[in-house]
Amino acid sequence: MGVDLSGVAAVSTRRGQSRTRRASFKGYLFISPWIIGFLLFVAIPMAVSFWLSLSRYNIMQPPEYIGIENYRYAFQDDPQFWPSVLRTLYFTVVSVPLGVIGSLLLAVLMNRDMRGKAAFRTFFFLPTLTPIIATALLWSWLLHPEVGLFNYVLFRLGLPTIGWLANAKTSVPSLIMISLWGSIGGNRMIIFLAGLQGVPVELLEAADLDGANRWDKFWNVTVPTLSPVIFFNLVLGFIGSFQVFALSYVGTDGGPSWSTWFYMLHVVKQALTYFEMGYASALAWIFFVFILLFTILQVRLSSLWVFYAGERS
Amino acid sequence: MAISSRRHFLRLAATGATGLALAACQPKVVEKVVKETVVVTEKEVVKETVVVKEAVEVEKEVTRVVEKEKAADVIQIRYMARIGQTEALLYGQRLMEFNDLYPNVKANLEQYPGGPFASDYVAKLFALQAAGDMGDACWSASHGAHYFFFAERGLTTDHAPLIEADSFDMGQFFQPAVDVMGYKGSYYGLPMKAHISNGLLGYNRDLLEEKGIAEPTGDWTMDDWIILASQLTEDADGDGKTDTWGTNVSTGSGLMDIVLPFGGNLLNEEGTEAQINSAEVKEGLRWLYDVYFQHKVVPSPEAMQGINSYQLMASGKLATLQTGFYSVGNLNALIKPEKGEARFRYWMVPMPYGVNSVRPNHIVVDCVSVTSASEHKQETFDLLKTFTDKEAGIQLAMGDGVPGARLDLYDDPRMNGSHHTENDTEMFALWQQMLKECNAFRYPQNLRNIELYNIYSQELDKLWRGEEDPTDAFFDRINVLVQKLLERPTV
Repeated sequence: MGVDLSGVAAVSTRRGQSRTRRASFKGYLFISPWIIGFLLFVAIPMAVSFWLSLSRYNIMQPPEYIGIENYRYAFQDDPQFWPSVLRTLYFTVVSVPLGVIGSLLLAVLMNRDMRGKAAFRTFFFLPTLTPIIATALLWSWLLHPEVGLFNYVLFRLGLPTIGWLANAKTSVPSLIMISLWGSIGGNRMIIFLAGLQGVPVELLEAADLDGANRWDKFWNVTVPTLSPVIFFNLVLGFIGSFQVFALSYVGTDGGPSWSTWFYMLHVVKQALTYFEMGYASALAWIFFVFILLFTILQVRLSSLWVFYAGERS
Repeated sequence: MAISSRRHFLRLAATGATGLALAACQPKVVEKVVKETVVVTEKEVVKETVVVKEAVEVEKEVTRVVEKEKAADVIQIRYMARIGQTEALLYGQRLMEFNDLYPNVKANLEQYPGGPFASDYVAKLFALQAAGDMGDACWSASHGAHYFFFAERGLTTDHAPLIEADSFDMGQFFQPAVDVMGYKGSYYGLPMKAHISNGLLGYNRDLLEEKGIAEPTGDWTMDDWIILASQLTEDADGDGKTDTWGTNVSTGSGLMDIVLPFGGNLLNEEGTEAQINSAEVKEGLRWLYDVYFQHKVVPSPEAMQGINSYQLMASGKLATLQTGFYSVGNLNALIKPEKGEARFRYWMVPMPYGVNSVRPNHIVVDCVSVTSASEHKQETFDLLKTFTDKEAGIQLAMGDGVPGARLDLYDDPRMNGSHHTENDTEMFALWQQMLKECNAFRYPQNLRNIELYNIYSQELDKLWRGEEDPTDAFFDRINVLVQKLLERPTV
């Protein structure tokens, strides 16, 4: 006579499910502060912002639903939408690669054994600690066409002075220069320094044995090993750079002649100076979608050049 | 349960009894109040406790807190203004006087950052309105169109009923100031200050005397201005860089003034049509272009980066500048030390006239208004009267030099003893005359004034920087941009 265990198995399953549910409940309970915070400060505001992007809203009156009119105006009629996109792209496409390359080279330099390495690392990091407002004000004076230090030196050397921030052609390159000053020796360099510690010494030694010179080792060993770190810095660099705002808001107020009227400045002006909250919300959503698609593209393309150690080819 | 032994109990009882005996034997203390400090506060509860004991007298200081009985129905009203503006001096003084005059009303000042065109201040007020925490009264101005914006959006209330109920005479103010405040057939505030934008030319009197150049009079033309500026522009050390500029021109929000002497205006009267490509406006803007590139008597926009004209003039690098009433305070702050003589003497004359004797100026009015949210509109209106009466107008003039928008100030002896200029009597007489004759202010009907100024600034800047030439095509393009903005919905 066999023992009927089906009831036992059913009870076991129910007890197992109950334990799983209790465990799940406890897990959710522990992460509930984050979930509540996410809902209150991210998800719900995003949903409200999306609704406002379909409305005309100036704070004073309730939002008036206008459908996709804000989006249509942005893409078709706003005289500063596409120019601000192009200016922001120009700023980003130049400043991010230069910044990543600069930070990498600086990290390689700081990784060498030399006297005063700690002091050099500190000095290069200090500009990152300068508040952006102070940076913008400081550089506004350094680059002043009439009384600035840079033009004074050029004048003394008998070279033609430059308009810098006061000239529409040189304003964006000047902002790129200021941005690089503040970022090359900052967190990006620190991250690269950390990455450089992970470059396998045996590969470098093997390359040495094969007769590789410094450049060969750097290009064929160091860079591929660092590719995940480079990818990380590129993604964050692009996301941050697309949001350029404070430098132009404080330093140039979007001028001269619209030359530094970047996308985020356009959004802020629409929202807080012209009180077009609905339109600013639409611009913000367009920006969000663009950043999302751009980042997805970067991730997809990364498979072509990012090498993860231990990954099967 | 711990059981106490008999010995333990007796020990405790003895100790307790001894304590009681000692306490009973202590001399009693009499507290005699020798100094009483009464602190009066605003709270409701009034409590006073006095302890008197017998026997020994001990001198003691006590603080008796007597909380003031709140008067029935004391109304609190909130007045919102910008931080750091010169009228802040007025507010402090007049609020105290108002509170004394109306003991059942207490007016409080709240100040918020201004920002360019007071945009931060406007944003703050909008946020307060949206949050349901709006005050009772606010400042605004015609220049940035906030006054009209507030009226359109219901932030300020229609003042006609208040004016009528009070039998308040609007005729006590300069008519151009009253006219500019008319909106949709009513008034939405009272005029506190009035001036004529950049309708004056300030000049360094000592420099003209040194060079033997006759001072300008009010009877002169735009060409006379350029001749004067040319005489004053100088490269003192011969290094190819101008050391002293002859003059400076307001190319920002004051641009509308420059085209007035040529018979033009940037907008039509209703504020619905752009007129940048009209023949008169083009003539005015081309004249200004020549001032930069043919006559070369004004500093370039690059040279003015981060610097204002007053600083340039105070440092001796600018001989004359297009300015307004408000510049008196700005200039004095830079050139007059607290004690001693000013760095140089200066004076002001009306800007030169052009065709039809029109001078480049327009009326600018600072207003004070009762908000729609106020639950004490009559009391708040009484406060506004305090900010706009004769005494306030005189205090404004004695402060930064911009008098109130009233006709009856100028005979008061205090006006002429303010020591803003060498001869305040003559200066105020000039301003009084100019206020009567100044040009009307035009603004976009959809109230997008700040956006409009930004377009003027960014687009026309290309001319003054030499990036574009003043061709018909250029003006047509700007006109299209401005017209598109004017066709946008009211903000």
